[in-house]
Order: sequence, then structure tokens, then C-alpha cells
Amino acid sequence: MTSILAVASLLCTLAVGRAAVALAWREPSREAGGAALAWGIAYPVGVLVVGAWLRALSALGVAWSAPVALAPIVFALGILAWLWRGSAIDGARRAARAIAGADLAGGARVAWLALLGWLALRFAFVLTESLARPPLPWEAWLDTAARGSVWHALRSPVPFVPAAQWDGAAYLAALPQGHALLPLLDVFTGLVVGRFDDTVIHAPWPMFWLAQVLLAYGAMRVAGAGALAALAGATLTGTLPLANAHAALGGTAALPLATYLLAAAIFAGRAASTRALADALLAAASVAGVLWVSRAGVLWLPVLMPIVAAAVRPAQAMRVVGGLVAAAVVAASALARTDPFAKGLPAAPPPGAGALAEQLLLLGNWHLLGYAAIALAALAWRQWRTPALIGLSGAVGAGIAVLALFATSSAGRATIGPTGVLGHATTALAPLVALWVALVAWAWVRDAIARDAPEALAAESAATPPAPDAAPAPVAEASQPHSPAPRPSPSPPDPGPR
Amino acid sequence: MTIRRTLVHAAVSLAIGAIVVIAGYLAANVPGAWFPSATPKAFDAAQMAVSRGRPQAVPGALQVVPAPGEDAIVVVLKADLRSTDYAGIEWQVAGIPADADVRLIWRTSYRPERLNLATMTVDDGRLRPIVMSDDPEWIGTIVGLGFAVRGSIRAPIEIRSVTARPLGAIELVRNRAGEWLAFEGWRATSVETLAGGADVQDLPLPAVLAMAALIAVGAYALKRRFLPAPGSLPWPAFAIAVLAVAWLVIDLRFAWNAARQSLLTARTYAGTDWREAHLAAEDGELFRLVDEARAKMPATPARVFVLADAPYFRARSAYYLYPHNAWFDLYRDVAPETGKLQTGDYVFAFRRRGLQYSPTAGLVRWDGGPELAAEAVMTRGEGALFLLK
Repeated sequence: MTSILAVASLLCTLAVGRAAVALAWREPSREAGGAALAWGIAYPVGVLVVGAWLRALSALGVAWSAPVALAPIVFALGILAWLWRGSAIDGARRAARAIAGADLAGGARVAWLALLGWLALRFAFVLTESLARPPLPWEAWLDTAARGSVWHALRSPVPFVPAAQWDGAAYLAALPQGHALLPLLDVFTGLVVGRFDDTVIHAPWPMFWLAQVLLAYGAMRVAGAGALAALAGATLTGTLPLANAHAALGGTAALPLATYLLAAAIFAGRAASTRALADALLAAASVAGVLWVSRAGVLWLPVLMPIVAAAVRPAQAMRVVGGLVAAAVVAASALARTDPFAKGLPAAPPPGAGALAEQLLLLGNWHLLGYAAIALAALAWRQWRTPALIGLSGAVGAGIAVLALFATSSAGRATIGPTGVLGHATTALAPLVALWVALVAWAWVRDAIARDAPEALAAESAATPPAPDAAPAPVAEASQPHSPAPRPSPSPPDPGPR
Repeated sequence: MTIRRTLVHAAVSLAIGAIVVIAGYLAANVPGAWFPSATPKAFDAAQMAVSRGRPQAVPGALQVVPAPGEDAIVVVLKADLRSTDYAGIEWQVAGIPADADVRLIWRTSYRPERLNLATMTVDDGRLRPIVMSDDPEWIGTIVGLGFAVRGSIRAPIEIRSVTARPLGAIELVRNRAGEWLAFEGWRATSVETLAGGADVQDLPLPAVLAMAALIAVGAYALKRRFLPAPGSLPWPAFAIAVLAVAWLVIDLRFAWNAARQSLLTARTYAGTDWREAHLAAEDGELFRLVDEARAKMPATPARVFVLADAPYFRARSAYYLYPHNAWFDLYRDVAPETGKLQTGDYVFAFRRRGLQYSPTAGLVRWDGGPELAAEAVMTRGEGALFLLK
């Protein structure tokens, strides 16, 4: 029963988020991948709304309780019922058809279903693990659940103070505290479940995993990739082992931070190029998530600058992005040299670049992501320099500079030991790198086939009937000539739900 | 070319590349014959003797700490090994400090009076296997084996077994595959790093797959350049297909590990409620004690000072005591300053040395500090709860 209620709390948060997204972005399914993006951003936005709601209640002096906490859900369901009146059943039918890969043929459909099944198994794994055990990672119980349980018991966000300031009036914070969003999320889950059951309290973490997968799929579809190629890219994001571990064990800030960062990168790029209010609002919400979910969030904000710059100044994108990445490298070097983060911490050597390389290339953390990124950076340089990808490429470059900062300074060591710094920092960046790898790989293959083997493409086109939402596998995608536009969107609209 | 044919082609090429990589590894690492006739020979803890240090037998292992005033331990055993048959020695040892100086010790029938030493490498608290075939003193029949550790040894070193290995090609491949497929269960540090199998690996699987992919793609690109065939796939498409197959292979390993973890989780926690799940967890004994202590405390939050030798137990006790207002020091095993304590405060102790309580006098003290009037509200096993008067 407890597990069912915990899952219900996830659905409540998702409904709140989806309603908020629907208010800003009425017709996401007008463009291919739009529906996936809308559902992908929904849960992270829902978490922000729920956290803000609990904060507002405490500011107004209202004690938290399940009925009060659930008020936004009732409101959200009302909004969704009104917005989707008359179209919900059609939308669900179209979604079921898209999920079943009905528009794909032959091997492409088998591959689609296999990838989907693989991701479903992975989600089942992380969800069942997160609903089974008491919190295991140190930060999960020493910071997140510690504050969550006290706040839930006292129905108010009472202060936690460092040990040196403890006088018995406030609670003792053993670690320098993270921001309040994740303990508030624990409180919300506890209120829905009816008690602070810490064996299920971190059930939201698999939802951040799911959000990443949907966002990666949607971003690839929006960039012009076919359904199967986009799902392959999403699988890349969904099978990153260390991110899977964060989803399964829950309670740490790195995975939610990664989700908000990925969403911010996607929607900031869209907002800068489309100038649409919906994209701007969702980008702002994602940035708010980056800042509210983790103390380290502010260090990752420079990652977004190349994306915005490339979209705002497409004519000078290469120069501007190159300059920003260079500036990030210089700033990271300067910060690593002066190490202002070491203030107040016991002296300890930083993890070092060697440890970073080991984490990325030799251990089981990221499968082959590091190798793939290096290989594509070297081999597919024509593709990652194109206007469509230069912003994201710059983001990855700036992200690596931030990662190097974590490896060579005391940044991040305030909350977790030096050994954990790299694991958490790479978890924050890896989904973005995975998306970059998927997009560059897809563009590389598409261009190579268009250049070298158009006959393979013609044969594939003849064998596969055109489908509304199914550009087939990469080998067949060369029919879409490479477009230098920032957001080529040659695919027809997604048939998914709104 | 269809998707299926492309992937099959990529899988075959990757497999060939992997064979080339592993063959190269074997060529560089098999110290003697590739297919030796000898089989590995293991010695368990019961066959070992401790010549320096204080031993303690535990099921299946020997735990050793240095004798008082010393900083070294030495473990020895009798053996009968032909040096030409056994090129490598592998100790199954845990808990060795990273900065410890560790030496393999052996005696030979050729010069039995001479004690030979070779430096061993510590990796993550364990000893890496050592290849001896190049050592000029690894000669004749090995009649005695042992190892010595010197350093700041604070916790017991656990010795499970030692295995003399011929280190033939098949054994090396089997060992590496065993490392890749070793079960890696959840730990508190699983969100920091995942080894991808055994904690210590001589040949990490990601590196093997990356090199195999490089070989496969390189060979394909050369073939396409010099022996072009009509209708063949452009090499970037082939490269991505190879990456996809390699990713699938390494993710299958992760999925296999995840399946085993799921079974373990189900065996431990399936059908349990919140309390039972905590009792089934690794720190179930602590949870039980804190739960009993909480039952003796008021319903409204009280101030409670937590004492324990280990940082984990200090912090975890405080966590279980919430929403009582717990004081503890995560980083140092120190008691609260006396000035912080008030009448009506609680003190919870778990596995804490230096804590003394006199039931008759109703006095408690720790670390030789002042005696404080207190009532033992609960004493059970390794834990106790005191109410300060």
C-alpha cells in the first residue's frame, strides 16, 4: 500500500507539472518530438510547483497536511480536463499507436520495440529498487531525508545549522546543507503516503530518469531525427550506469540537477531561436530548477551560455561559442589555481585529472560515453560545428571545463568527500553529453549516407512506406539533407498526445 | 543494407576486434606457456600461521592486527610448488591500508636458508596478483610462502586464501571475464563510482570494447578505401553501428548485474513494511536499539547527544532519532562539551568505548570527563540511553 501511495505521489506531481506546462505550451504535438518534450519537462516542473507550494504554505503560516498539499493536484486536474476536453481520447490513441511503433516497418519496428522494452525494464529496475530499501547513500539520509523527516514531523521547514552554531534551538546539519527543494519533495511524498516512510520516500528519483529519457527523445525528434534514431539516442541517455544508480538509490542532488540542466539546455536553445514565450518560460523554470535543486547548480550555469549565444547570433556562432568555451577554460583554470572553494574546509588534495579520466574511461560509470564523445569530437568535426549543433557543442565544452574545475579544486567537496565529487559532477553533465553524442552521431551518419551511398537510401525509401512520424533507422535518414538552420524540423508532427 | 545486416556485420567485426585485443593482452601478459599443464593451487586460511601480529580466526578467513607497539604483520604457510609451473601468486586479502608496504615472502628448496622478498601492489585495500616468473629467486621448488604488511594498520587485515597460478592464456581470460562479471551490489558509494564488476580489474571492459571498436572501424574504413564494394555502408554509419553493438554488450553486463541486484533486494526486502525493512537492512541492530530508545523518550522532540566510535553509527543513530534534536560530530569521535548539556537532555550511545555508568550512584561519564547525574533509561546489548538529571 505504501508503495502504491508513493507511486500516486509521483503521478500527482506529474499532473501538476503537466498542467503547468500545458498552460504555457498549448499544442506541443504540433511539432515532432514536442509531446515528448512536454511530458519530459512536466515532472521536473511539477517538483518545482510542489516545492514552491509547500514553501508558500509555510510562509503563510499554514501547517502542512495532506489535503493542503494536494490542493494543487486538484487544480491541475481541473486545468488538464478543461484544456484536453474532447481531445484526450484521440490523443491517447495516437500516443498508443506511436508507442507501439505502428508507423514503422520491418526491422525498424522490431528495433523500436526492443529499445522500448529495454528502457521499460530499466525503469522497472530503478523504480522497484527505489521503493524497496532504506536510504543508502550518505547525502540521501544525512541531508535530504534528515531535513525531510524533521520538516515532515514538525509540518514546517525548521532551520538546520552547522555543528559549531548548534545550541539546541535549531537542528544540527552534519553536512553543509543543500538547497531545500529535495527535502521538500521528500515531505510531499511523505504527506501523500501518510507517514515519513523512508523506504519509499525517494521514489521520485526514477521519475527524473524518465524525464531525461523523454527530453533526449524529444530533443532528437525536434532536431529532425526519425523516431528510431531518437529512441536510440534516448536509450543512450537512459542506460548510463551511474545515473541509473542515482535513480535506483535516490536522495542525492546530482540526478535532479542533471535533469534540470538537460532541460535548461534544450529549452534555452529553443527560446533563444524561437523567441516563443512557452520556450522562454520552460527555460526559466529549468534554470530555476538548476539553481534550487543543488548548491553546485550555479557552477553549471555557464554551460547554457554557448547555447543561447549560438541561437542569438547564428552568423557569428562559431566565433562566439569558441570564445565562450575559451573563457570557461580560462575561468576554470583561474578558479582551480586560487581555489576559493577551499575556504573553511580541511586541507585535502583535489581528485585530480587522472581520477577524472579513470572515472570517464576505465570504470563502469558511463559505459563508452567518454570514448564516443572523444571519437566524435575528432571525427565528426564538420557536424558538431554546424549552426544546428555548435551551441550544444559549446555547452559540452564549457561543461568539461566545469568538470575539470571539480576535479582540480575543492568545488563540491563542501558537501561530499573528494572521492564522490567526480561521480556527482559527471552525473550532472553526462545526460547532456549523451544527447550531444546522439545528435552528432545522427548528423554524421546522415551526412555520410547522403554523400557516399544515396542509392542505399533510395533502396530503403522504396522498401519502407513513408510514415507520418517515422524517419527510419540512421541508414535511411540521409533522405533528409543536412540543413544549416539552427533548428531544422523536417519531420512531420508527432502523433503523440498533447 | 538493412538495419539487421548492418548490426550483424558490426557485431562480427567487433567480436573479431575484441579477439585481437585480448590476444594482444595475452601476448603481453602470459608469463610462460600459453597452455600449461599445471592447475591453480589454493591454500585456505586454515593452512596459514601468523608469525607477527595477533590473529583471530573467523569463518573462512584469518583476521590479523599488529601486536601492541608494532606496526607490522607477517603471515606464512608451507607450500610445495614447482616454480616453473606457477608463474603468479594471488592473495585474497582485504583491508590493507593504501599506503602500506606489502611484500611477498618465499623460500625455495634451492636455497632454503634465504628469505626472498618481492614488493606487492595495494589497490583499493586489496593486493594485486604478482607475477613471479621473471624474478631470478623464483627458482626450484617453493617450500614456503607468506606476506608481510607494514604501515598504519588500524583495522584487522582479513586473509581468505592464497592461490598459486600457472597464468596460462585460458586462466587469464577466465580471470578477466570473472572480473567483468563479478557481482557489484549496491553500497553507499554506488552513487559515486561503479567499478563495472570486480573492484580491481586488470583489463577494464570499456577499454577492451573501445579498442575492439577502433580496430573494427579502422579495418572497415581501410577495406572500403582500398577494396570498395558497391552498396557498402559509409564508414561513419558502420562506426555508429559498431558503437551501438559495443554499447549493447556493456549494457548487457550492467543489466545482468542489475538482475542479480533485484533478486538480492527481493530476498532481503520483499513483503516487508517500513520497520521490517529497516530490521532487514545492514544496520538492523542499530535500528532496533534506536527504536527501543525512542519508545522511552517523550513524544515531543527532546535534545539527545549521540556517542559512537564509528562516524556512520553516530550519524545513522541521529537520523533514526529524528525528529528529536540530535547532536553528534560526524567527523570526530568527541563528546559534547559539558556546557552544552542540560538537565532533561538524553545521551544515546552505541558501540562507544570509554563510557562508564554506575547504576548505584546514578552517574555517567565518558572519556574520563566529569561525572554527571543520570538515569539509564535503556541499556540493551551494545547500546544505551541515559536521561541527564
